[in-house]
Amino acid sequence: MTKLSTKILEKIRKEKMIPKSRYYFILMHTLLGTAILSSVMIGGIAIAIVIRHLTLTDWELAHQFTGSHIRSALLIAPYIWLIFIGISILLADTLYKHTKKGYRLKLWQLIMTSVILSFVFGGTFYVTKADKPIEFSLSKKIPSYAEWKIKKAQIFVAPEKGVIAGEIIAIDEDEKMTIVDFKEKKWIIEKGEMRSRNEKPFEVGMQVGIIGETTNHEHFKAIRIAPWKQDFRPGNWQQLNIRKIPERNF
Amino acid sequence: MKDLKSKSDSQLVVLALKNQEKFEHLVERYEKKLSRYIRRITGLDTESIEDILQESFIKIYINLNDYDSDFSFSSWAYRITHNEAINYLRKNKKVITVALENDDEDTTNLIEVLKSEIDIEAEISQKDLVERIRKAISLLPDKYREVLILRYMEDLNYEEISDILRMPMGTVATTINRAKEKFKLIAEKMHLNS
Repeated sequence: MTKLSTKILEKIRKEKMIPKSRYYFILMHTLLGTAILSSVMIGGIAIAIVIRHLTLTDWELAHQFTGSHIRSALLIAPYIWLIFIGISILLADTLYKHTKKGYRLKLWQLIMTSVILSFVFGGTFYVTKADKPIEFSLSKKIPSYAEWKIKKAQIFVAPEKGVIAGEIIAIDEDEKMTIVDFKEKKWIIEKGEMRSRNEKPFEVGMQVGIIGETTNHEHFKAIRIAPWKQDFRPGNWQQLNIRKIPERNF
Repeated sequence: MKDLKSKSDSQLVVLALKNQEKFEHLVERYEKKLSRYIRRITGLDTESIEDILQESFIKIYINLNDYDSDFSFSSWAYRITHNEAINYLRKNKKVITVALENDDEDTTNLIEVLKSEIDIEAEISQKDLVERIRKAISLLPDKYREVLILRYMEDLNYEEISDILRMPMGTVATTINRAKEKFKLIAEKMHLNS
């Protein structure tokens, strides 16, 4: 036995050192793996929410408001979720690097893998609508998140730019509608030369996005009326317990 | 004892986990190699090298259950030793010096590789050349020096270096090339070129 091996074994004996348990390492690697998977799945949920935001957007209304598709995309983009996707991908990459073989992939390979995985999860969550209860729960539990959604919807109350969005509160026999926009102002909607017909008949309580022009301070001449597809509904305000719609006395 | 010498590293790991006395065979097998490696990357005195080596072997022992036979035990032991050496330098705020012996075969190997990168002055003596190359190597950034030592002095392949330094194999190759280029620049500044 060499001098060093003697010294080492003496120290091991004296300090009663024993190898860490195999289960300790199994637990550590499992925790790391779970953290990576969770991170990718959270990224996937964020992607599903982004896809849902984009598919539910009334792009025609947005185009009318901004005048260009690029500006519409910049206006609509759910930046909070895009940042969240970036963070989750970065976190997954950082954690993966700490796995036993994590260093074998180059940075771009690592990023591509987590992006692809996040999109696979994101697509699956979108198709299975797994993101919906999560986003609803966020709106319910985080008032600032709900406020953010309300503010995004309120952007489309811009009669000076030819767009308003709101809830139908009355439809008379001449199919003239009365709506309350998302900023809680009442409008009488007259139908002008309509560009398209709605597949579903309009009814009270339905939310709509309208393109047209104001004829006076409370009349709006519509050339297109379409259902408002976003999850956000002022009707939810009461449900979300954020702010209640004031009593309407028209 | 003779029987144990013919056993593979992985088999010795299994035996050491069952009986701590068997760990001595792993220590004996790697003691010289790792000691030389510590000296090469740190240039420290014998006492400090022994401290690092002892801590490295204890860490190896404590973490024996984490050894994955997908990797070579040698790379795993090198990695732990490498980290211990770097931690020691950081903790003790020591400056790296490079230990290159004139008559050491591995040193000759590295010097030959680096010599081929530059045109050496004809009149320079071998002893002076080794001294200047040693200085040039010590001026290299840590990551370049380490990779050159592992490749040309420890004679390890790209996969082993990749496992020790925890970088992709492609990056190992790139780093070696950059290290040579960097060495060339330093050699020019030191007027090693003719």
